[in-house]
Amino acid sequence: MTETPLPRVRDATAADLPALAELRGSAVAATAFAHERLLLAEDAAGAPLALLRLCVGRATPQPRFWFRVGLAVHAAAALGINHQQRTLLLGNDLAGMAELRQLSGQPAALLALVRAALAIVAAAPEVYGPRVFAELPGVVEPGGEWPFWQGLGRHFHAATPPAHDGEWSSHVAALLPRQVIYASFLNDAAQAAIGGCAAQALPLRDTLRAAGLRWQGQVGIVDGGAVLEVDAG
Amino acid sequence: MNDDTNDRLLLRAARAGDIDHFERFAAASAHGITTLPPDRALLQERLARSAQAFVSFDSGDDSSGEEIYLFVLEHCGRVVGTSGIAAAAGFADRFYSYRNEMVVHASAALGASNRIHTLHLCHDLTGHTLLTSFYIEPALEQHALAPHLLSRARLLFIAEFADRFSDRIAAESPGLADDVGRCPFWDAVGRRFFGMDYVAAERLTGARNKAFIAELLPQSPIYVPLLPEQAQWAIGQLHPVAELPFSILLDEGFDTETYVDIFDGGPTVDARVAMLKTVARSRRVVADDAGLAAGWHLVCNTQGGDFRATVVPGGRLTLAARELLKTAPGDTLRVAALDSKEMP
Repeated sequence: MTETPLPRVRDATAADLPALAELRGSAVAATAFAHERLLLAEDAAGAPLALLRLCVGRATPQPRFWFRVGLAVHAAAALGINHQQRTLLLGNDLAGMAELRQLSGQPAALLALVRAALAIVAAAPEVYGPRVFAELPGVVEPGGEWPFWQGLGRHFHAATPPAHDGEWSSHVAALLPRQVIYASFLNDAAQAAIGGCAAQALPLRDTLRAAGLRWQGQVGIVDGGAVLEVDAG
Repeated sequence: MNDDTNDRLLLRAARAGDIDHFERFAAASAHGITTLPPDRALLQERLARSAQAFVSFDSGDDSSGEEIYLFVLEHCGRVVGTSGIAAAAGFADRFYSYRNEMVVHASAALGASNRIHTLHLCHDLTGHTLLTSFYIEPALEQHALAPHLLSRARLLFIAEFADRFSDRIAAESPGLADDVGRCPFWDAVGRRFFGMDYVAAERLTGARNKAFIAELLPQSPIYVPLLPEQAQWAIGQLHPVAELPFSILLDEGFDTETYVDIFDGGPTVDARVAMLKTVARSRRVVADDAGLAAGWHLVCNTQGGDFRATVVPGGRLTLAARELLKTAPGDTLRVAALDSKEMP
């Protein structure tokens, strides 16, 4: 009976970038901010198995926005009415928290990387903040459109969002509603996408859950994808 | 015209004995006039409240703001229409409206700037005097003077007894709805929170100042771009049945831009009483004084308890008109000129 050896986890160097880009399927840049970490997991032969980027929330030049999903109960006892309504409120609740990005690779190796990143944050909360989060890509239609954007954002900015562009997302927040939105004003497909996750990201969701991250009600403002969070340490 | 008994017009305070007429009007005005419910008991109750309000002029009771005043229009002695006033909208509770607002969302980085229409649940019109219950028989709708007397004489009443009313005034008009109760605005907004159709909700809320409206509707603004196009289009749109009374309110100088009804999205107009055409033009005269200028005039007596108004041509007040108004030489009247376009 043989045990799968634990992958080795280390910081990536400039020399690793081409191999990591191949693993991820798109370009991987070197770290740009102090305390930002680009972590990789490799097998005994030194071949990369997974990567993730641990980002320092405070380093983000633009404010980041999310919708917080809440619940409003409207009741009128005299009418026998008791309705629960999901609400969305634009905010910066996760500003200043550490973020895991560019998570790619084998689930087991990725889990090791996520645990390593959580340990780094736990050891230096004054640098990384008290919480760690990761955004899951939201539900996407076969045609490539995000039903959440089609049901909400599109009505406030008639543009097709670029794929997972954090800067664009920060800018577009200025065009979105600042007051509470009742989810029931969105079409069914958009409502169904709130806090969801693209099918191809389900393994990633499971990996993050295995590392202790949970959905606490934050969703992406463009695709409505779930943001998973955990207290560090 | 008014001297001709074939076309005699009189607006007077409604009486308990008018109940059959009110029941007829309520049945004929199925659309959106919540102050004319098709329910005899409710109508009787409203008539009783109105009678009490008129009686308080003679009994010396102080007005409280709770009063409603109902009038009827007689054409050649036949009752052909009604109109009303509520002294203070939402008395003892709150009067709900949606207020139109615009907010500009802009992003320099994306080169985008959008005017976003929002609706805010508000109580702005609470305490305003409210014009209500306008109904005139279809045969009289095209009459050159009757609809004007029925609608505008209320403003003479308010001008004469200003201390019983607010200095601000509003009026609701029905919005778009079809005969089977489909209402694009309600179906997109209220239905989500009440879980019932428009007709059922109207019946439940009646005078629409019930606290449960607040408990069921969102307190945050409604972002109009999120509503279906049909509902967006219905905001501030008038039901065709109300075109005549609405046009008279517009002519008086009411503002149509600010408020809409929380149920059907119909326009709720508002104004300062003193700025309205009939109020601004109105003046008190002595009944046997020198004659009125050429053209038609609204004229009313100044007896709150037995309020009467009619229309008269220029010149001296005729005996017939004085008899209609139950006024004697030396009595004070209030008059306001009508525009020439309103003449036959």
